[in-house]
Amino acid sequence: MMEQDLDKLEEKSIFIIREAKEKFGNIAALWSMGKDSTTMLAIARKAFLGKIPFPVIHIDNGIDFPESYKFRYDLAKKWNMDLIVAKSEIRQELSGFSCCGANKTTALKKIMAEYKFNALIVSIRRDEHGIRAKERYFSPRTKDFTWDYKNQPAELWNNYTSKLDTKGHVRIHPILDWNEIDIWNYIRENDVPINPLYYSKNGLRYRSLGCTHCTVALKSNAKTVDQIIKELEVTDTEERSGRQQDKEKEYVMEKLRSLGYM
Amino acid sequence: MGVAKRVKKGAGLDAAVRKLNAEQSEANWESLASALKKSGIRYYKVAFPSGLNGESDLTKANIVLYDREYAPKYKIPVILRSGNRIEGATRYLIGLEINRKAI
Repeated sequence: MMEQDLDKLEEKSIFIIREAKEKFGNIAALWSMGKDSTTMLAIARKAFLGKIPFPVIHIDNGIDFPESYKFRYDLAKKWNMDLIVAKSEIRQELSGFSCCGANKTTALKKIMAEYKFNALIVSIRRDEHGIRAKERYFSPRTKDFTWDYKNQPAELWNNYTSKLDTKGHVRIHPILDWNEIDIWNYIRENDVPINPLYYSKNGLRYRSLGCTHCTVALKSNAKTVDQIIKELEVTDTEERSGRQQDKEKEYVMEKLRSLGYM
Repeated sequence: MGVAKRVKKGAGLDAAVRKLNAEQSEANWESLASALKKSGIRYYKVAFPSGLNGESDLTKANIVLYDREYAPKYKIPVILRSGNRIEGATRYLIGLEINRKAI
C-alpha cells in the first residue's frame, strides 16, 4: 500500500472543508465513529481553529457496537460537537443491502429534510471500493438523493461545482484521495482518538467498522497503531472484506450509492 | 498416582460469567474470553432494555450468549469498568457471530 505526503493531503482536505463551509450555507458532516470520519472531524478542527462549526450526524440504527456508542459519547463531549443522532428503524432479520438501503438512507433523508442541509460532508475514500473511485470531491445529488455517476462534473484545477439541483444537495468528500495507510499514519502523527474495536483481540480485529450485524472481524494481531501500519504495509486483504453488504451482490454498492447511500 | 478430576463441560464458563456479572473488570473479561474459546457458545446479541439515550444506558444494557442451536445460555453485561471509567466490551466476544434471528 503506497503512502502519500500527509501534509499535502491534509492541506487539500482543509481547503475542501473550508470551501464547502463557505459555498454552502447549511452543511453537516456524517460520523460513523469509524477511523475515516473521525479523522475527517480532526481535520475539520484544524481547519477551524479547534472547532467543528457545523452539526455532526450519526445515523443510529440501534445495533452499533457498545464500544462505538461509548466512543460517540466521549468524543462528542470532548470535541464539543453539535451532535444530531438520526434514529433509523431496524428489522432484526434484515442485513446487508436491504438493511442499509431501507434503514440508514431513509433516516438520512428525513434528517436532511428536517434541517434543510444543502451539503453533507462524507468521509469516503476512492481506494475503499470501485464505485467510490468514481466520486468527485463535490458531488451533486438530486432531490431524491440519487447519484448520476455516469454524468458527473469535471473537477479541473481545483474548480469544484457549487451548482446543485435546487431541491437536492451536494456531497463533499474531503478525504477522497487518502488511502487506508494514510489515515492510520495521520492518526498516529496527530494522536487522533480511535474506536478501540480497531485493535486486535484473540487474533482478530475489525479493519472496517459498521454495525454489529454486518461487520465481521478479520485475522490480525495488530494491537497498536504502529502494528496496524506495519500490517497494512504487507497485507493483500481488502479493507472492506469484513463488510457483509459488499459481499452480497456484484453491484450492490453501486446500487446503494446511486440511491443515496454513503 | 492422583485421580484426574472430571470437570463438567461449561463449568469454566459458568464461573467466568458469575465473576463478570459480579465485577466487570478487565481481568474478568479476559477470563470470559478465554472460557468462551472452549465452550459451545456461538452467537451473541446486545440488548438495550432502557433504550440508548445516554451513556448511563450502556450500564443497563446486556448481552445474551447463544449456543449453536441459538438457545440462550448466559446473560452478561456490556461494559468494562476501569476505575471511574466505563467502556463497551464486545471486543472480548470477537469471533462470536451476532444473532440476527428474531427471538
